[in-house]
Amino acid sequence: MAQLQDQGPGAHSLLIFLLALFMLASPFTSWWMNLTAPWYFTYLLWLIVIGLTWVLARRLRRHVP
Amino acid sequence: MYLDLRTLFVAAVLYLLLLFLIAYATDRRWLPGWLIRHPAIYVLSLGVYATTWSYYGSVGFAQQQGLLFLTIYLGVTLAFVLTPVLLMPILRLTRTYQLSSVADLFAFRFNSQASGILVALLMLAGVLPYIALQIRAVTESTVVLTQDSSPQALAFWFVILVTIFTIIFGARHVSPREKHEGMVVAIAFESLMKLSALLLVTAVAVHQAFGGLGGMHRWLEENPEHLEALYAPVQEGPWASLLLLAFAAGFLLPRQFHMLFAENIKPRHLYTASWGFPLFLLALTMAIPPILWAAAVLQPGTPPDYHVLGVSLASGSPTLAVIAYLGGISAASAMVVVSTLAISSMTLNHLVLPLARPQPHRDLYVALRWARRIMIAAIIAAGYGFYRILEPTEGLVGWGLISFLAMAQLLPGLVGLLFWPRGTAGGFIAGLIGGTFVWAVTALLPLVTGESTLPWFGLIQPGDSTTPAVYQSATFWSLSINALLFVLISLLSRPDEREREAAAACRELMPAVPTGYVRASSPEQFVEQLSSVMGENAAREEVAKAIRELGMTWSESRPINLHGLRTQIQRNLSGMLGPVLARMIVDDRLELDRESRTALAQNIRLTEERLEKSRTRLRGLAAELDRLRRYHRQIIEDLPVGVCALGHGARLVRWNPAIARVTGLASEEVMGRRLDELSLPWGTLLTDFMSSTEDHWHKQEVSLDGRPRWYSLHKAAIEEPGRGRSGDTVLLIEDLTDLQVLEHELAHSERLASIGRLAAGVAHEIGNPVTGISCLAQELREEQEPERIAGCADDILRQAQRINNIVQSLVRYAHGGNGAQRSMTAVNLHDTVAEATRLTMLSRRAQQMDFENRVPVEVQILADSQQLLQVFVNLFSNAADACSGDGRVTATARRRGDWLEVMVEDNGCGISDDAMEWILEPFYTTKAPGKGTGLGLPLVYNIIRDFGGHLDIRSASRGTIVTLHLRPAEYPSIKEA
Repeated sequence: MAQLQDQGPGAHSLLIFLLALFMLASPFTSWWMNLTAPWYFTYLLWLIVIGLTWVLARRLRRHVP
Repeated sequence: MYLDLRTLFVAAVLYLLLLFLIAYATDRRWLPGWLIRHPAIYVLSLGVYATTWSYYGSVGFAQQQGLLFLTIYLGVTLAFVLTPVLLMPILRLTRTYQLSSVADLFAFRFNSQASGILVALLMLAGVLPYIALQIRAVTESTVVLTQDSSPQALAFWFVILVTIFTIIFGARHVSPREKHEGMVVAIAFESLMKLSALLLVTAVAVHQAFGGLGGMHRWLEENPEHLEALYAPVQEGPWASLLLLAFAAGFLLPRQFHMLFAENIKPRHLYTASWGFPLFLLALTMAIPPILWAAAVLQPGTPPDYHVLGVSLASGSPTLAVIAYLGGISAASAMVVVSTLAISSMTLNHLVLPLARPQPHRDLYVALRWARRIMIAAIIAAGYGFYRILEPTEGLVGWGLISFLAMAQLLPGLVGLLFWPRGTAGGFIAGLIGGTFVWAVTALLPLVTGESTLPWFGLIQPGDSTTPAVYQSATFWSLSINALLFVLISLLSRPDEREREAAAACRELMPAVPTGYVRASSPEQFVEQLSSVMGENAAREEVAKAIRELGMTWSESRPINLHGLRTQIQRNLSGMLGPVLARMIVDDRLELDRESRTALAQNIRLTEERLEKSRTRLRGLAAELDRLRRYHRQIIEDLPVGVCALGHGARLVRWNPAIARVTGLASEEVMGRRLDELSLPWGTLLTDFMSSTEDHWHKQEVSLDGRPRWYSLHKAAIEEPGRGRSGDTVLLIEDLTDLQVLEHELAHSERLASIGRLAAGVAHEIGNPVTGISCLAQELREEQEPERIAGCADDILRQAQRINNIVQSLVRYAHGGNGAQRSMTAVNLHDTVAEATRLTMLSRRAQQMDFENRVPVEVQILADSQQLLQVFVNLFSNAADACSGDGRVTATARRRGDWLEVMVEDNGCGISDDAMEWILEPFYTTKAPGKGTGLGLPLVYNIIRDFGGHLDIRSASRGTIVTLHLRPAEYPSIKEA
């Protein structure tokens, strides 16, 4: 029987994961680090990832006991 | 400025005592419940991730490797982003199957004790030096603040207090289902303490060094080399490798796994942690660069790893220095407490218990509790021993990263656990051994021996083992070899049935339906069986706990529920003894009778239950099939007829709402029971029906609460598609009580109506003997002769008897329709026809007719006499209405096979084809208004049907023949037609 994981929340979290990888572990990361961005820039990107995770978690919390 | 050792000692001891107080207050419920169970407590307790390495070492790490220090926290964030697909499935698994550690998780998935042992050993090897590192950080931080060369006493008392704390608050329960709330709140407080201390130190240091954040930014603009030093190492350093290591460590480190999964109170808190914990780490690490730069300005003269203490000393405030110091104590003690708890549970379940099995003569709970306490003390003692022999020159980062790399060796197995059911125990063990070997050679040995990393086969770059650079190659090669071996050996080996089941459970797929029934037939027998392994007290307690959790009773005997009880006991034991030992005990003691076939019906119910509980969303054809299944099930559920199905052992496997309403027995009460276990009258009625050869029972009268009710029962064998009869049976119950009551009322109405129609004839019939009696009475008055007087009196009596006969007939006829209980007895047909003739003759129309009773006098049929009389009265009345003055009605009877055919033939006007179509419908009449009720023939039809017979009506242009097919009670002299 073809059963698959629920793709809804999984797909969203994977998208956020890929975005986080793009911002924090990709050639894009090297690029903005080469620019010698302000020291808190990394934290800003980190905060964006946390914010997106918060939005997703808020939706998912309702369906969990 | 330096601090006094005694001051620090007292502060540290007081702080640790405060932790005792917090944990104690929580356990005693002095703190409000909402606070204890608040998601923020859960999030903060995860802050145990930040050890002294983070608290002190991050500044040194940042000075050497710039922003690379952030990878340790960004990696965790990436893991928490994947909460719905990574952490939540693990949480569900750990909660469902009571898995309390990483070793439990892998031992469960691969159904292998060896997997559990290997993982436990790896964790032990990775964590013991890490514990030593925390003790070292405590002593080194004390040295930094006091310049005391050997604060060994403080280290010793730190270890003693932490051990006592862990034993008291971490080993209270033997089951992971019972949480250590006191310890969790204390750990959360520690996280808050270290975060507050670090932020406070940062604020003071930035203010002192730069006069505020604006000053710091101006300083950075003037000294851009500091910002460049922050970014430069990232370009060459092992950024991605460290991210990967931290990703794994975020949930696989024993302390993280323990807090995330074993101490989780509500699953939804994990979603709060998915953003809350990274936010905590962000707040914590935002303090690191400012402290680093403040130290560059203030030049505290401390090693970079202890700049946090250096800048607090530089502030000149002893209070700030003590707070900073206590932050470090928090980080160290939290790590030691939680790691020790997690490792002790793993070691006990996978290293100790497989060797020293539970003994029946010992109290299992007491033995487990003491074993856990001893393990806790032994592990912390081992950590302390490591600390004593640890090379004091190594940085704080080295051992931390080694531990991280050890945890990362579980990543290939974890991917297999969650996403690759084909992975086998052999593959996992081979991969783990291969990866651990590379880890030991490239990361562990150099740190232990002090030698530089060897260039293994030219693949691993030589370098200083204390720098993170070496982890790039070590991570790559250890994980690659690990994954390669895992895949290769898995593909070359085959998982056994148990492994496949566990793999399916891990992927939340439906495992194969268990075959066979538990041999034990009651919970009491479960206790007896388990007592021989774990002692009677523990066995009884475990069975009682499982019964409570499943909402059962001790009298439970249904095989399906006993199977569920067995599963629940296995899960609970898994939490205490580990999944492998629990399974061995349950398989050994609570045996399954695998030879007995598990009926398809039983499987269907289990399958349905699992489908309902499953969180997986079906797709494609499977989804269509599921919709179809639901639709068919709903049809049965919504049927207004009671339906039940009997599976293997005549046990109920389906009980729809209609039958629950009819019987007053809820589905939960009866499912899995045998019919004879049902309460009266249903148990007897249904068992008798099942054992009878007939497939249908019509209008069975059942007394419920002293009132009669009528039901029709039907049964049919269920066929298994493609296999013929399955031995299962479906049984239908129709409640006919309302219909029966209505029929009785209609019959009574019809009877009263026909009495009304007979009234004129009755008056006439009674009038004649009354006139005769009057004449005889006058004669009597004048008669003198005794003989003639006696003759008159006899005549009067005869006439009075005639009146009495008429009245009695009417009374009997009228009373027959009051709905009283009827009984089927052998009734003489000839006499009944004769009585009906007499009654019909009372009507004026019928008096002109000729009634001929040709029914043999011996014929008896099984019927209710009053109802049978009603049949013939109705038929004769109809015939009389249809005939003119020379009407003739003949009643005959003949045998045809098992049936008796009784024909009532008249020579009346017959019934038209149009009327014939409606003739049996209630209230349909061809008679003039006021002459008929339209209930006569429908009533005849219903009565005959109740007798188990049927009727035919044939009509030509002249005359009608009504044929009644009845079951004869006796027909000795009737010729067969």
